[in-house]
Amino acid sequence: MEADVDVAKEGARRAYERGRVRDALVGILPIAVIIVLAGFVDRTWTPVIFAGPPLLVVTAVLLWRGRHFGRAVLPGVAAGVVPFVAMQIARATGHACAGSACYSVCVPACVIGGSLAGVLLAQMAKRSTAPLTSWGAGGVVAALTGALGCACVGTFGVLGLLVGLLVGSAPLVLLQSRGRVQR
Amino acid sequence: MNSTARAQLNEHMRRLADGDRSAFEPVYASLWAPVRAFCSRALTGLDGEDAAQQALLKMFSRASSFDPSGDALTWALSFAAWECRTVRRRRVRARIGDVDANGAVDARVDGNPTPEAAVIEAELEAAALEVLGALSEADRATLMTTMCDEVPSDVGAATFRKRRERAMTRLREAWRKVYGS
Repeated sequence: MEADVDVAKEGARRAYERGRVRDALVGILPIAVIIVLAGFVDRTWTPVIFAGPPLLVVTAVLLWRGRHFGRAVLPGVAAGVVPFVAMQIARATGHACAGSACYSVCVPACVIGGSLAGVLLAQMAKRSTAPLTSWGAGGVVAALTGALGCACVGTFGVLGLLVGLLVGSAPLVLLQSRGRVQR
Repeated sequence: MNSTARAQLNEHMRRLADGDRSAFEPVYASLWAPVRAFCSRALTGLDGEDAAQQALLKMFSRASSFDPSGDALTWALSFAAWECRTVRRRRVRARIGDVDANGAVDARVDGNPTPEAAVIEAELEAAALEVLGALSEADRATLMTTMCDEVPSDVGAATFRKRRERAMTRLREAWRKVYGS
């Protein structure tokens, strides 16, 4: 009798996990659409090929895991759109010239966009009961989403994005989490 | 389940919907008994237990879509009610299938009638007795004699035929009055 109850409970637990996997797969569909749209907007598919699949896998795992990880997905994607848009604006502008020297503004656009995304992430993390977890999960999603745009200028674009994210969010999040610990 | 336990269950269910696996045990422990009791009351025997298990499987599979402002017990019982309805429909369909295939409610392979067939037979028997009870003593005696295929010695064959026709007419009327056409 007790064995039957255990079997039934295990069945229910598996059903719960299956349900979460199904919901996570449904949850990444809009992100798949964003990735494809990014390819069309960018008119180059290399960043989509490199950043798209990891973004899908990471968001699926975070949504399946749930709690702070799952809740960080949407703000992460929203924050990641900022450097993506900044990059598109920079590409439309072309380059900046100072005297006889001209520079591409793509990498600075990634740094600035990343910093703005970092500030958004920090605001989200501030409201969370587990700021570091939310910031970490949201940061990975934001970095991968932003990389859809910044990867087209190569490694420096992605590095600029990461530096911007860290500069924009780390101080606020670290202060916040230290304040929580002291309290 | 008292209001404190119910509030606790709601809190655990909210956590489970959010992805907190540690809330699974308390939710399962709180819901198993009421869902099983509900299904056992709605269905009979092993069907009740099976339906309760199926209902909980479906409920846990949809746990992420639990409305945090809703009541977990009501939500779980709605799955149980739906499952019981499905089992009943399946039973009815199986019963109709038996009637279609054999022209009558079938018996089991081992010769014993199925519970459903037994219930239907009992209902028919009760209906017949109810209708016969509405007839006069003379009509009942005439019909019994007819069923035994006998002709009473104290009346002539022609008289008995007329009595039998009248008794049958009244039986049909009584049946129609109670059960319609």
